[in-house]
Amino acid sequence: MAEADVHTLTGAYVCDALGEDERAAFEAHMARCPECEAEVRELREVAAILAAAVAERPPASLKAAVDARIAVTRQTPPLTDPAHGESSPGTRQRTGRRRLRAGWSVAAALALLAAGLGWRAVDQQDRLDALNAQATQISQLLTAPDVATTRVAVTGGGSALLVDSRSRNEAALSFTGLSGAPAGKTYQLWLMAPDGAARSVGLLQATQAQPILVQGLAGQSQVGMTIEPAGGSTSPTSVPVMVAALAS
Amino acid sequence: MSGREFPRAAGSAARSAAESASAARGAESGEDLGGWLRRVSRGEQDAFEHVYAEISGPVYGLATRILRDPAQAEEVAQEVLVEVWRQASRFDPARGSARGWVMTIAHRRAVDRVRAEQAATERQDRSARESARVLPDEDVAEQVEGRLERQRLRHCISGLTELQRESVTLAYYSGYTYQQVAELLGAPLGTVKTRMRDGLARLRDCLGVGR
Repeated sequence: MAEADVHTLTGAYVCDALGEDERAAFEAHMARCPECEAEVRELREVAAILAAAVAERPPASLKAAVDARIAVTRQTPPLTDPAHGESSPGTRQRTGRRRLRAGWSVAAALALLAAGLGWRAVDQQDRLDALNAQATQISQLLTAPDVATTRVAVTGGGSALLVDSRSRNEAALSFTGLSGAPAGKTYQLWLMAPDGAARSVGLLQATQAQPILVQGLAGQSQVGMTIEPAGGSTSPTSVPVMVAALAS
Repeated sequence: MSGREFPRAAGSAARSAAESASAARGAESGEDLGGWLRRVSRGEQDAFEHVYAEISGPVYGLATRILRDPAQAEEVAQEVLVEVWRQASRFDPARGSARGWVMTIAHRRAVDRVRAEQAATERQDRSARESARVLPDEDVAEQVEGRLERQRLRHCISGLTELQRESVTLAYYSGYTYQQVAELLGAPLGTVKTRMRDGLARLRDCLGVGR
């Protein structure tokens, strides 16, 4: 296609009205055509107004599903400029990290979790098997018809997102912004029954604030977290820093 | 605490409610969408509440418009919003507005879904064409600002030639390729792609955006 001809495709490109081949050809052209790029940038603002004009209130289920998914979705690190060896403001990510495909982000989040808690990280194959099983469980949990999400604050800083389903008999917990347990102490997670009985779910490092899968919710009404002496306790010995009610 | 008591952590429920309320005010809380996106890129889930409040309506509405099927639209909207969370660090304010960035992702996703479907079944061209002509009703308006923008858009669209208007709306709201639009309108390919470009450019000038 002649250059002048390609240039007239800005409108069709912004409307996503090009087939795959033409789209690729146009993008290649735009990479060395600052005028085209500037025009596309302007026309995109028009397109955004066309989009805003058809805004509709989304169903509540959309919010629940998105919250549940971002809780287990690892974010793409920023692009950095190799010439300066410095990342863009407000980030501490390293250059050149591989982009994660969406389908793998759950597994990636779980990889961090497994590394932090030392779950089944005996050898590579065991770990992969465990991750695949966990990823499947979390995606099944997220699509359960009775999935519920709850966000609660953690005393001392941070928040927890609880995603749970009675029909699946399991829950996933994710934490952000935890300030960390004091020296010689650890966070410990519990499942609590209405009569006050607590069952330990496991220990949690503040630095490993990644999703945790909890199974066996029968008879339990709450998930909670306490600060316990290093190594954990057999039952809670302090006031919880976080309590979230499971869906009834 | 010595026993197995497990009382509710003080203040957690109250604070959670306050957080939701502040999220609902997202758009009017001073910080703009680009600012919230920057915070989202640092992993701040609370900031994402503001982003969600601002963009979920347009994203879901656009997906509904293009896909027609509410269930599919919800799926696509979910993918787009998760993508915004995941790729927030890639938003570059030097290359356009935050809303433009989000809606570009949303439109591309919805259109990709439509194309995938078209490959399987031919859609009802006529009904799509008729609905593409109709501009949205006022009842979708939730904010005064949005309503004013919509009124201006309506005014600006009325200033387009029919071929410009049809070319832009069939492509943008129905997800057709320019070849399909040309077929529907019985117009030459070159004319249709030119009308998409000058139609959008005229809207740009009329709306006073992007410059």
